[in-house]
Amino acid sequence: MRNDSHKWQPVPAQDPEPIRMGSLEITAVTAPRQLLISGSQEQILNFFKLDKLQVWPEPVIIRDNKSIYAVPLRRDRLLIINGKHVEEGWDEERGLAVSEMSHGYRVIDVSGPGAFDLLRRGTELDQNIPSGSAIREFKGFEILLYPVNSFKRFRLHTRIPDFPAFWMLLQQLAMQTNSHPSNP
Amino acid sequence: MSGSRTNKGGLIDRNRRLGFQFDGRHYNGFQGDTVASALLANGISVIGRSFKYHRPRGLWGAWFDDPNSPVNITVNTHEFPNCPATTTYLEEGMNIRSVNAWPSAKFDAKSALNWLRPFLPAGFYYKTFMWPDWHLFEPAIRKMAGLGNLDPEPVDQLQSDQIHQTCDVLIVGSGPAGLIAANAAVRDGQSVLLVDDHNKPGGSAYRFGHKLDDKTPQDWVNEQVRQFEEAGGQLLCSTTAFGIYDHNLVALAQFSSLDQAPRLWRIRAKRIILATGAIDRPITFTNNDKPGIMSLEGGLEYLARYGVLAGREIAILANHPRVEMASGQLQQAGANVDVFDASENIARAKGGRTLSAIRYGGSTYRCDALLVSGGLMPLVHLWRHAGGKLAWNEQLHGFVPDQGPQNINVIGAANGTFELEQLQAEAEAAASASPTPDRSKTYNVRSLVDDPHNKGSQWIDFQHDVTLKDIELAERENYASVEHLKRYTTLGMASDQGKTSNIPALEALAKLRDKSVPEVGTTTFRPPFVPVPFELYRGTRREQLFNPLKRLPLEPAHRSSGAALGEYGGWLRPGWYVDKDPEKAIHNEVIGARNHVAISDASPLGKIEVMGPDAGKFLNFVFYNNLTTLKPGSIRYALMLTERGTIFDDAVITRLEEHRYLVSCSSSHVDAVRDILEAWRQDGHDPGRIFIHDLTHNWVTITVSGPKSRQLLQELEPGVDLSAKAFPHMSFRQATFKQDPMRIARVSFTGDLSYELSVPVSSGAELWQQLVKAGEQYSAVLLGVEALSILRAEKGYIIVGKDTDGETMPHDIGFGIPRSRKKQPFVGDRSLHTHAANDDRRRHLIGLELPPKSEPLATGAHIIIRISGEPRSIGYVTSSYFSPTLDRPIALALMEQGDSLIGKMAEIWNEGDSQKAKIVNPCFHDPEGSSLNA
Repeated sequence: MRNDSHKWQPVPAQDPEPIRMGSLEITAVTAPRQLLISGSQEQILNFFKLDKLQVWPEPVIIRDNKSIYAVPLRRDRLLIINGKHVEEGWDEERGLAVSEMSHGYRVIDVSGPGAFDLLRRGTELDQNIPSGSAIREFKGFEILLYPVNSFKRFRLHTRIPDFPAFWMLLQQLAMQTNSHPSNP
Repeated sequence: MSGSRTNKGGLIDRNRRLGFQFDGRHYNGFQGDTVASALLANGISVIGRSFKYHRPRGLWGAWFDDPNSPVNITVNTHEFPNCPATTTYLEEGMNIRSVNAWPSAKFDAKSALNWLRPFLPAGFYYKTFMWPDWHLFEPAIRKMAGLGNLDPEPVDQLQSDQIHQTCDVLIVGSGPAGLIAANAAVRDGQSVLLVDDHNKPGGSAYRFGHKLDDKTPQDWVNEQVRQFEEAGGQLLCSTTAFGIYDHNLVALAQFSSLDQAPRLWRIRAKRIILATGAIDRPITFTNNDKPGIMSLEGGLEYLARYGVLAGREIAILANHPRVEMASGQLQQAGANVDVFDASENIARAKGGRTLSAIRYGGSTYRCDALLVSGGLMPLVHLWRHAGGKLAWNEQLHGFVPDQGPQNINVIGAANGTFELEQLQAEAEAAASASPTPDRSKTYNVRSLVDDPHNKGSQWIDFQHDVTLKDIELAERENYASVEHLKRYTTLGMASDQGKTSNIPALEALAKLRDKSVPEVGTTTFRPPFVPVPFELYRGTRREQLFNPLKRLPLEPAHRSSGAALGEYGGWLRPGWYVDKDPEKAIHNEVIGARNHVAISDASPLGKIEVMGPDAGKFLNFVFYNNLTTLKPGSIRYALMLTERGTIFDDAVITRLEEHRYLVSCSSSHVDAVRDILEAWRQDGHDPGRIFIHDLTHNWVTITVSGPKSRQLLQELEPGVDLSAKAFPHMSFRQATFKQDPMRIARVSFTGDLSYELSVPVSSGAELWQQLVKAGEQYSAVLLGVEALSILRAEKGYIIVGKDTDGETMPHDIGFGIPRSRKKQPFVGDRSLHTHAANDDRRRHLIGLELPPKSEPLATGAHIIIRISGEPRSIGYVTSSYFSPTLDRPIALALMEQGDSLIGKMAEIWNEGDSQKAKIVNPCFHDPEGSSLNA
């Protein structure tokens, strides 16, 4: 029983300022609508009128902040970003389990030529090995990670309770990347 | 040894002179020198003192195989302990101090211990300091033991960079074999990473003593590197592969300067080629530890890389064909060289503190350096990390790689191949993953002659002072297993981890046991291959990132209310509010909750949704309690068991809809419960009919608890009939808060009327503010985890992991009915019917009642009975508090046969004190449940 308040930097009430360091920019993105849906992938994609599912290392194409896309979590579970409103719960007709997750993840964009170099400080990434899941273990944090439009911009989703520590970690990794760039 | 710098040669930059100090005296070296080469070049022969007897120690090797040269080095006011002088590159201004020596390595006050050597053999400490008590001697022995000194000032500015990388081929070692393999692989279109622990590539190429492809070794290496890099290969120098782990993961430590943290590379390679070379095996003879005696390859390396001659009058004692080449190189550099065949006669070193002569074949030969080689030993450590087997090679008198992992090849000297042409064929085959070509070896090592009964000490482990006599003693005392020998004598436990001492020791033991070396076996090879600083592993894991806690979305509100935050189950949560007097604050929170209403943040509680047509059946299998009768809108308490039948967690399960359930498990077990649900979903169930969504972090949960909680909740106008009849205990209603959904669960962890309100994170702060504001008229208090723990203990509610242990079963805490009546199978069912589960002496959850004025019991205190006056523990206190509600201490405990002892007195013992307490039912507050159901 002790008061450790002073040992922990307070959680900021607002979005943190972007981190800009050398060729890197890290930005907290205003949370898009996120729906967690389980069931047949084909059924889910059809329901949201999505052509196909991008799997690592294929970049997700995002034109604007209303673009609809699917992030694969496992073979029968997707996170639909900016999808249409769907009633939560069990959809008997389609065999889908639907949950609102808009407030569960904070979204972060890491961009710039040094982005990949930063990310490989936290997790094992290989552009030649495809992965059907965007879930990554990143220095102890479970996150979602996928490239956006190219390999110079990546989007990360981190659970809300992990966000303060994860942001701090990204700050440290950005400093390391900037001061000791590695040669992949 | 009187080492000296040659006028030319080596890879050092003679235009860049570096000044340094050793044991208080000033010296100079050159850029590119190691600390060891600089000391040798300055004629310093005694670098340090041995661990046990403080015997003078000089350089044995030129790289990581040297056991004699750990030194403390001060750079920029910070002292780094036990830096290997042979692998630490010299920097301007280094202040170097010998270890285990005072005032200097040359004149060490504790060297008198050497005279006591006959009385301090292996096992001396184990035998002597047993009586009357080891702890009497321990402080003095610990003070004397150890090498180097740790600087008490931490160097927190050091932070290792840690990087993941993948490649097709990782090649460890950039000697001739590694360079040839690297170029062949990169030409083949593979992504190749080549690593070498020296600051310049080339490995043993500089010691070859002849041209390679008509080029000098330096030109040949440069050409190979140029071709490799132009073809897209990546070369990392100053980088040691120190461990191979599962799935071809190789750990690399990339060193720069001493005052900069090394970089950790985690390489995942499709294939690994080990070209790690070989090191000299020492020869065991009398006085073979004298400064001035050095490995032959070490002597050649000092000459080739650093332009340093080990001596002017050099003797070579060896038993293999490389001697002629070595002799030629040394003579060319200006030394007089005598060669002695170690397979023909026994040698004996002579001299005082340092070497002065060698006695061989009945004659004495003066020398200032003796270069020794009992044959080259392939470096097979990484191969063994990866699980590769070893085979004893009689031709080499050493172990070579045998059967092993398919994706790892060992080539060159590490494979026992020393001939250039054969080495090239082997490297090219490895690069293309072709079978290793057959070859005949010309490198033959002749058997050494030895005499274990020779007068004088013959040294096996130079750093730890293990002698041949120690091995004989251990064997005589039946420490005949190589693992026992190691621990009894401390052989191979020095900072070099037996790189030089293991093979001579194994051969000695084999002879003593009249066995072959393979029959004796080897000890286990484990990472790290070389010492690496702890910082390498730490990286960003420091301060708040050492063990980052999950943070509440409502933390800003808690801080502004003066919350004292602390860790509870991996979350930073309010322990209590207003820190001035914690005990008083907690007391007031309990009283306020019992008499009025309390508001608390319960967001960490699990919110795992299970959906699908088989969801109900599935949960009924995973949980102990019967859930088949749970109706939509109802809630049930349930226990999750392990397959051993012990309690893993508890939860309240809400049936939200026909095929939709909400599992609200305990805060600290959410991740584990979710994983267990996922595992069972895919084992014995149809995963197409059950889906699991962990939504814990999408919701904020706020609890209002206490007799006025209904009135407070009513202030929110939730649009739900909150009356006891319409909304009874253990039921659920869906409401709205602003535009958002609000879930209201009437459940209680305090024992009073209580509601859990859950809204999406975005609405959490507003709901909290409204409740706090509306609560003012009801004298509402903010409730921290400490007060909540007291409230639940007053009611007898358990916290799993605190009031249960790894053996507690549900019937031990009063949940026996499902065990006997549940018809459907469930996890842990079988284990609940074993003999152990039905043992009469199982520990039951009970309450302990103490007199009003007494102090609370210590958590963990034993409940004892006395048998013939001797105490025996029959249980222990799991939770203990002063109860503000009851105005006296209370406790929960697990106690053998506790159920049948209700009403009796128990003796509680803690750290020598004992007191009496009355055994009671664990529910102290409102046992009839009228407050709960109000």
